[in-house]
Amino acid sequence: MELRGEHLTVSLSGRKVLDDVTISLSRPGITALLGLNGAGKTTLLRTLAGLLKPESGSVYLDGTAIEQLSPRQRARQVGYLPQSPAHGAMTVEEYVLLGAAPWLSWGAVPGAKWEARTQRAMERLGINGLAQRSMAAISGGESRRAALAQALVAGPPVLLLDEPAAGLDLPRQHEFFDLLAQLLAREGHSALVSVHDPNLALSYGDRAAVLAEGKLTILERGADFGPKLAGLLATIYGPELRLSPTGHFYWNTKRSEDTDVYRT
Amino acid sequence: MKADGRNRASWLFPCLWLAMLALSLLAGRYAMTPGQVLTGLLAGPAGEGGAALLWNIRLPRALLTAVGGGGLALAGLAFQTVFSNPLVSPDILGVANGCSVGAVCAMLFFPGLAGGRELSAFLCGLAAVACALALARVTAKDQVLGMVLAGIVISGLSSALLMLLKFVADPQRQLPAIEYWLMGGFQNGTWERVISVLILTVPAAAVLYSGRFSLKVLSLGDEQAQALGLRPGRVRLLAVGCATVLVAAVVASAGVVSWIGLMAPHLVRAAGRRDVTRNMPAVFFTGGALLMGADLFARTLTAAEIPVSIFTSLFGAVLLAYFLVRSRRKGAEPWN
Repeated sequence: MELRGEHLTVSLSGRKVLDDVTISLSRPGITALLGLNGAGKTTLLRTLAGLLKPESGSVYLDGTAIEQLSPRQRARQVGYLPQSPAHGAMTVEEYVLLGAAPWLSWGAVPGAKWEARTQRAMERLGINGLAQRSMAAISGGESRRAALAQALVAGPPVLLLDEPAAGLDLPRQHEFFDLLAQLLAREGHSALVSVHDPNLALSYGDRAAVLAEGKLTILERGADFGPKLAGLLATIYGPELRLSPTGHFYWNTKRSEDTDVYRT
Repeated sequence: MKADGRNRASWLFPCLWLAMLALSLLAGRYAMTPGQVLTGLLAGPAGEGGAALLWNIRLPRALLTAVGGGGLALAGLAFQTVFSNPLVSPDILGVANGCSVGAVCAMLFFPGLAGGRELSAFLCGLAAVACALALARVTAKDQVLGMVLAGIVISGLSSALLMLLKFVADPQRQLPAIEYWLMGGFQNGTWERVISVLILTVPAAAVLYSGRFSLKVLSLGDEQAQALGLRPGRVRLLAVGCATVLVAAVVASAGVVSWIGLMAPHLVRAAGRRDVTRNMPAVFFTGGALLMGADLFARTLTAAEIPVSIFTSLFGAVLLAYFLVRSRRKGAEPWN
């Protein structure tokens, strides 16, 4: 399955947010999407998900223009998780079960097959113990897992995740990305995931896509992935963003210079 | 899946509904024993003793409130779900005000026309919603906000029309009848009205029930619903259309009955069923039981009949106050 955005141009409130952007998601693994606030990461994800119509350019699913597909057909192939998923007043299990929606028409309710898929998805993400808890009563990390479990129930080969690490503490961020990487590797699926922390892109990204001033630059993972990404990001974030000799991004402050923390 | 207490006391709500239905047949100015009710029901409308009273007055009235209340409750649930707001009442798009304008027009200008009030109320209610939806379409980008604002505009317009109609009404003959009708009441509950309410309520409730899963997806908000393959606009329009039919059916035959649509879904949530879209039958039975209870008070508390909305508003206000106090103690939202 290939999700391809070709020459996408989108303007919001008179400002060109995406300017002739082309991206293809076909290979398994994570493509980390980086960029400053307002760079257009969410706009790109929503456009690729078919939720936003571009001014020019098109999104294709295996060569078929996405607008030619019904919303259900599209949702079966492409899953989209917004930055702060709403959950209404329901239990974790019920929320995850809503992932069956792309496969059900009006009047249908998910039966035993979908309930079994829901159980499996919750088990895979380690939230089956929370099944009967209210979505309003679980932590941020748990609700991200529930959202990912919902996407797994539908089983789309391409996932578009908008800042799934936002608001999570460091261990929960890595736990989430570990799980995501494992799931994608097991299923052979691909995901475009927006992140703010370049270390997450470095640790889990099979590719990095950097969005700045409407233009997208894509870096494939290779031997010099870290230094190339550092060079690219430094032009956007500024020279304070550095890559340590041990291969981690850090922000160079007066204190870090004084204490020499990253020098070897 | 044991989600949301689905297997827990599922019989409670229909039992409550049936108990209220039985009580509605037993109680009244002329109290009947269970034996008399049973004999009267078996004897048919032409039977002796209380059979005529039962078949011609109590049974149609009880069924009208039992079904009408259920319809109002489902309408409330539909509006709360599609607007993602648990404090929305079925009148958000001005349907009750529109119905009232239609009914008052018929009372003033075609007082002798059989069924004219019902038809006029129903058509004006639908027209009010159509205007609100059309206005929402041309004014706001945000569909939900647009509908709410358009509802306020249409409600205001209907209120102005209603005041104008009251102003031109004969203060001696027509105005008291209009005012009384606007307060709601089932004193004219006839089999014709039961049938007209059933004809409108059953299909609308069936459509809402069949789409309960889609409504639940829509409760996540438009963007997520769209990402899950739903067409939010279409689902919302269908749900709003069905809910309007449910409200118009009751308002056309009994006047304005407030609060039931707001109260019933909250009571079902309070009974441990957070996911009310899954528990639509429970919401229907609760609404019916509430309206039967209010009507029972309305017709038995004093020798003269009291408008039913006085009791539904009283119950509703007290209940909402209770939820607010409870939520403050628990530190949660009133509806969680």
